Amino acid sequence: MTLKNTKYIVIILALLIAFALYLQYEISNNTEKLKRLELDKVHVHAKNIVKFLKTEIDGNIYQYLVKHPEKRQVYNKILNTFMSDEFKYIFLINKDDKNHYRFLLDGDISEPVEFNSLFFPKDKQYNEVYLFKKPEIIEHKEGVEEVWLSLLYPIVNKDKTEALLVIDLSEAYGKKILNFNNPMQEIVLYMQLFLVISSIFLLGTFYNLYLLKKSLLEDKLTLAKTKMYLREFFEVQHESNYNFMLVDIDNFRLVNEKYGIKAGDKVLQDFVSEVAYRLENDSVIVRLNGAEFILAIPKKKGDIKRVTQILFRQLSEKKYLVNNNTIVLSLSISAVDTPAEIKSLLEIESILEQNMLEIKSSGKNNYVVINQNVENELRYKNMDYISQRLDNEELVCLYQPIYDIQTDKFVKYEALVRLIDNEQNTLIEPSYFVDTIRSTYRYIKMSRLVFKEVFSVLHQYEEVHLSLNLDLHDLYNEELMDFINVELYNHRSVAHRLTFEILEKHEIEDFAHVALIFQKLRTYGSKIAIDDFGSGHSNYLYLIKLDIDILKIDGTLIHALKDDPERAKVVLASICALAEKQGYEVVAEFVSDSKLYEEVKALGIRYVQGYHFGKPKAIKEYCGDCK
Amino acid sequence: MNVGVYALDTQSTLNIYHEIFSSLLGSQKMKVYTRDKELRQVFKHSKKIVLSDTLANSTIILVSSQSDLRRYKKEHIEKLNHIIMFATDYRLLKKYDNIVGAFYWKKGRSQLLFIKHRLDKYHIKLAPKYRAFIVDEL
Repeated sequence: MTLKNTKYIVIILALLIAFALYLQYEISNNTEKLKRLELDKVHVHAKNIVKFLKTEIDGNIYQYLVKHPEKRQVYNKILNTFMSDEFKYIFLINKDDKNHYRFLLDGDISEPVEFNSLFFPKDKQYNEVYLFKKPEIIEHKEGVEEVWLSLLYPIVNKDKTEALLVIDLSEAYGKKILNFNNPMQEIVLYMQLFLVISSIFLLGTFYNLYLLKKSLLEDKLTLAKTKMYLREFFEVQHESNYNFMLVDIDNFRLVNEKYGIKAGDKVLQDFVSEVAYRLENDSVIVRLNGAEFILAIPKKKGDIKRVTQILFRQLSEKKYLVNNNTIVLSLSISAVDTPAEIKSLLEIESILEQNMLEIKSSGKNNYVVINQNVENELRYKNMDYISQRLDNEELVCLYQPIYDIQTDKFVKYEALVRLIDNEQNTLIEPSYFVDTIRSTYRYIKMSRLVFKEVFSVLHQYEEVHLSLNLDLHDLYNEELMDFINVELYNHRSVAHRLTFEILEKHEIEDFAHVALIFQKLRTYGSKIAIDDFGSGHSNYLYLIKLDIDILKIDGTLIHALKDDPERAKVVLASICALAEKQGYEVVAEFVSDSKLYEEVKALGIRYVQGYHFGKPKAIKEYCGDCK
Repeated sequence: MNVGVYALDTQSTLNIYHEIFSSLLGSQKMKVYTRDKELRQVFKHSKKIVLSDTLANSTIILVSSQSDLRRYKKEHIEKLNHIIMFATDYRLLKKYDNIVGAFYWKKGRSQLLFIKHRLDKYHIKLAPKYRAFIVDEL
């Protein structure tokens, strides 16, 4: 049951309850109305009887009836004609000179009372009606079952009450009127019963829902919140009012392995308590999984850099007692100073995770706070933004020259793709957007645009050689490789002037497959270069397993010539020797100044690339005069 | 159990009669003689009202029908002038001068009345709450 549905159910139930109460009110009103109508009828009867008697009797009623005993029976019979199931008794009484009531006429001819016999009514209203001369309906207070109400109707002559006409309404008549709406009343009663049961059921459901939601929103072990809670929290709060931290306890697995799961759980509980204690109530602590937590900290707590620094120190110094041993935890914290323009929690998580990877890959037990250019970073990583750029073909290639020391000429240009940010009049580097679109059809679209540009340049400048980066992932992208092969075929006349620089972040596991792809790429004379050779996964195994043409030595090795020249020279010399023996061309990257250039030149490296020779620019800037 | 056409339940009837009799008899013991089977059945449940089997032993006679009255007359009840007579009908009260009062139902309403000079004859002084029901004559 969703919150929205629940709202509807509550509204419907509330409306039904209101409707039932309205019906109850209407029925009760209706019964009262019916009662009034019936009593009005009784009044009319009384009025008619009195009118008749006044017409018949000239002068005082009592004296007339004393003088004309024969008339009593006549009038009794007339009163009797009014008697029915509704009117139990109809009789006429008056007060004697001693203020005692006495019967004058009686409609009950089966058991008539004696004329002038005494009558002692207990209700005070008899005297009031007699005195004030206004008809009144009274209820019987005695334990008499057969009479419901009595109408006391005064017979007034010359402003003096001469007698009272009493009409007793039967109990059966009362029941008939009061129970007239009983069927409807019963329906309403059942309806109310149904609503009460439904409300109880709904309350029970709400309670269960509350318990379920609580279990989904709170981590049972640590009592930290869950990610679902965080999402709901930021449905009502704005992310930009909070700074965020991704906290990971480094190698927590080892705590579990060494001290057991139970002890590990206790450490996690203590850790969350410590974080809660340090951050106070207005922060949100969310356990993601295992030993990873997201903290949402209100910006009012101060500069996130300082908050992170203090928290990192406090948490790193905290000692935990585990099975009579004291341990401290190694932590990695990725924090972000949330920009005002942030659109979703996902964007924040993405930044935090990305930076956490960097912390982890650089040795853990550290913290990083991101606060510069986050806005742009978020925008450039946004799929919609990238898609829009690609749809508008707002893409350009810049070219960085590769210099041949021997011929003193630029022999090749490395094509480097950029998206165009027209708003800020800047170019966006692939590191921002490539990972976002890599597994989507947008990546193919981008590749098409790049190839279109590269082949256009190759056709335009007959002597120009270009190189193009290809990630190892791309080699496994069948659609992309098919496209490249078709492009190479279509432009086979210039394909020999194209070099594919293979860049990989992961180790190659399937060398046979990669070798086959390299073979296809080389079909029309294109060359294969291993980019960033000497770093990461670009290792010597490639040289054994794959056919390659060029080694592009990683920039960090070239820069090592500055920091540790002796050792760097030994390593670089060995690569050069190997390349010479195998017939590889060698390119030194990141040659940023003349000193490095001299060092590289001294090592016998023929090709160099770097800011010392040229930054990435439009091809025209380098090849304005090229053929 | 109900007594009479519009009468109350046994306990209420007993309470009413008990109050009336104690007001009529004062400190005298309530030994009631009645031929009315229904009333005898009611009085059986009372701890204060004792049913008498003979007229002579009773302190109050409860007259509930014309035949009772005829029978009492035959037995020269007038000689038993120390015994108070009370009726359950207006007509009985009217018919026999020795009956001091009556309690009966009329038009669904309970009726209680006492006749002053008859009460005086027995030197009966009723409680103030009954004064409104004392009439000089019927």
